[in-house]
Amino acid sequence: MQRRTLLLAVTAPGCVAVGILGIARPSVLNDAAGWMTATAFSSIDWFFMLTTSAMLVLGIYLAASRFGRIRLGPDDEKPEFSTASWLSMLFAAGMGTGIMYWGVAEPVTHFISAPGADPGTAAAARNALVLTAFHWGLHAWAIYSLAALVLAYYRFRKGSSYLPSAPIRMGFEGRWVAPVAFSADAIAVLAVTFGVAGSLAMGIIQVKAGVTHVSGVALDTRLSSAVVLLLLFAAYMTSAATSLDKGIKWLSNINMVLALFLVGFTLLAGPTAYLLRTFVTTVGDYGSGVVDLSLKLYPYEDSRAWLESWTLIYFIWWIAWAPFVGVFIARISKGRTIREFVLGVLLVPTGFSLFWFSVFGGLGLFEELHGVGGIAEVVSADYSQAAFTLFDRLPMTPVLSGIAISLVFIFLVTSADSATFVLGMLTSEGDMDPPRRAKLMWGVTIALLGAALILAKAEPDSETVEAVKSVAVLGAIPFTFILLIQVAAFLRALVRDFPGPKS
Amino acid sequence: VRAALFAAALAAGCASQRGANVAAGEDPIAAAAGELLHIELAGNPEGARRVDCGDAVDCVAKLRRGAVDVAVVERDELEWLAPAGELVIAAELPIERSFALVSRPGASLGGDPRVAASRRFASRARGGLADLARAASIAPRPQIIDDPEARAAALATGAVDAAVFESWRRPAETSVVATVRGGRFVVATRPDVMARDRDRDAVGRASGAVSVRLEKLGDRIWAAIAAGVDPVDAARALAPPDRGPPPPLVLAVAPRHRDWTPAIERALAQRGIQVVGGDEPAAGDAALMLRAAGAAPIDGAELVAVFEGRELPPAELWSKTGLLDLAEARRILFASAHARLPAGDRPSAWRRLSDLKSARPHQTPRWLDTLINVAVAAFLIWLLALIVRARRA
Repeated sequence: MQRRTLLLAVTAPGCVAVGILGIARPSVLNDAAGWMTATAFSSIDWFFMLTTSAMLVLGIYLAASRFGRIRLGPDDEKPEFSTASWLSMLFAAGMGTGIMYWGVAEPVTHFISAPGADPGTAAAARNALVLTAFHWGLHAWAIYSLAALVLAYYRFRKGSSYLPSAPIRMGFEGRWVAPVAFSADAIAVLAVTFGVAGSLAMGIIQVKAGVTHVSGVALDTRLSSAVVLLLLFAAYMTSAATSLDKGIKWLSNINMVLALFLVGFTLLAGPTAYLLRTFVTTVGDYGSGVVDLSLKLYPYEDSRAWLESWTLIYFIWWIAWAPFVGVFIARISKGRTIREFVLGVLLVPTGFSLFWFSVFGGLGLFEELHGVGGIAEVVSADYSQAAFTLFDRLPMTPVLSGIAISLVFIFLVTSADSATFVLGMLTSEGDMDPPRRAKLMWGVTIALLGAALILAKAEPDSETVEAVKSVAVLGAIPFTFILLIQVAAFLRALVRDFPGPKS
Repeated sequence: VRAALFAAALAAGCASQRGANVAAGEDPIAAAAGELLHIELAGNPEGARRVDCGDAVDCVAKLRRGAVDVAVVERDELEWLAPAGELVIAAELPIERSFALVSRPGASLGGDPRVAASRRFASRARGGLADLARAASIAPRPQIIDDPEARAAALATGAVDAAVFESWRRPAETSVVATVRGGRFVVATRPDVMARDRDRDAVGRASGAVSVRLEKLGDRIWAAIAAGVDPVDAARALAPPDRGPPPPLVLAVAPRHRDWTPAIERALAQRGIQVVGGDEPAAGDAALMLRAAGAAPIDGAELVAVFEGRELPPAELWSKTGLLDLAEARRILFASAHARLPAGDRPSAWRRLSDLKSARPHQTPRWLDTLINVAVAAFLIWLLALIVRARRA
């Protein structure tokens, strides 16, 4: 049996089975996914925390060491894109449905319930933004940067494909290599499928919440979820099937402008100086606290449940997206040195995330501490309403809410479209022009999984969100091990290809 | 200018939503009544103003000029100060000497809910002049002094008669008249105050003159309650503007179960019940509040207590404070706990709250935990060996 056929035979039925189980017996899927993630987190939380922190340390080491001068491509290769374009594309990669969904909700949630400060106090507000920055900052981008760096190095210096198995096949010898390399591709497929389906489900929740908030029409039925999902499905499948690459790029650019407008307008219409102070303070607090947080597992406190449902879920979620985002970042980084690459990928999106959360989260906290409050109550009841409730307190509310809904919708379309491409590529032995039928099949599979997650309840609530999180990270837990083997192969290659003066 | 604008607004029949200016003469009783009225009418105390006047004549003159909206004047004086019909009595304070809350006819606040509030207050103040005067000294928010040493100095110099301290910071020469938050805070006073007024409860009630700064609204309310302010008054006076008084629901959770509190709060919020009060008050605090409320549900209040993880009904724990008997505690707790929960939830309301306690970290069986950890450790060692071997090669 051909490798690609075998890969499809292993992964596609697994994904479809999970989707069908989710629709037929949602509680069984939720319980099973919840049990698996909870077992992994409760047993080896130290491993996940250590892995993500080690990625960050390794990235910084590579940038600072002699390896930092190595070019991703032939030594005389010039960067394919200008630095400005490259940074702008990294900046776009840093955006996604998540920042819209959690922009207000996460800091405010930490404000009312998180370890490190008495809830509802000024200290809690400060702590909330540091924790949010920790979840969306350097660690997330260290994972992406290492995943992308490995692929880029093997692609541009050794001429391999973008498959996760390529570094393993080229970096090691032995009988274990073939099965592990095959598993790497299969697990990457599962991680991307579940991760994107999870994001799709969460995005649908927010689109519904936004439409409900703006129109006043309660979209609390399964039918409404199905309609939003079908619209999304039609949009991203049309794009995937007709190769509307230019259209998607155009939409992405529009999204970037809309996001910048949204954050800029909020900054100006809100308490501008306060929000800028919040940003600067958060950068400082995060900078001084990141080492402490990087290795903090609360063994002596009753905060393990919090750690598992926030920090660890985030880190694993980033790993779920790593095979996907990694390919994108690798593709745009040909000709960059490792130093440029690591610093660009670590700092630009992290800076943008911190700014975004400082503005939206900072405004939410401002309302709680100095304004009329009420955001925490909304967040307690429904995360997805948080941003729209905040927009109610700014001028041009309908415009802002409309932009937010559009942003989420377009993010979802572009993400799902890119995911169908990456999945098609992964299951076509790294073919950068995957067959249309492969893309269609993965598009349907993602929609099916999204439906399984979102249709479990007529009105998605916090339990739905937790279930979505559990399923989304299901594929990423094993991919953590694959990522580490890839990184090991990369380090071996670096040491062999560029022996130091002593060697 | 502000008074003129305000008077114009009143004349137009649209009383400001931000509060009314109140005049009260130098007479201590009138001043006390004026202060209370100021709080009652204002809704937002900072938005309103209490204007001191030299005497009743001055008060009425200010009222006539429109500089104030309401004045507190003795009824006897009013009869000779203003012709019948010129001023309107909005409410009466039936205390030792009968006082009236007086306003201009054109500026009558009749129908304004704030007047209703003042009427309620007026009837509540029926307890007598001493209570009114004492209450007046504490109603306009406890004086906030952050620094405990400055607080101690204020107490020592006689600037205030009592103060709240963390128990370990109480100055040695002071006496404890009340405890707050299960003993973490104490209300302390000077020996001369104790000698002057041997009624410890009374001193305790009057102790809100100085309080600690507690960040949260709930804590501020606790502090005021501990200082003897009626819980409803405390909630009303300390609630941020525009939000209105929060429903006086008390959620009491033992300190070691603090991590459950957000989950319980969320569950209650989803049922439309807002939570005020500390997040970890001890049983004594909750009992204090109950006692302050007259050991009966205060109008519309919800009292919910969740203690420990055992099956022990909260009512029994409450009764252990010795302030309530078991039957009474049960009656209050269950009557209030079931009041606002959806009908379908009532029989299992407490169990549902108890279920939330199960939101603990997932516990993996020990053998599986060990197995997974050994496997992961072996993987890491293998990985390290791969890298090191490449370096040697």
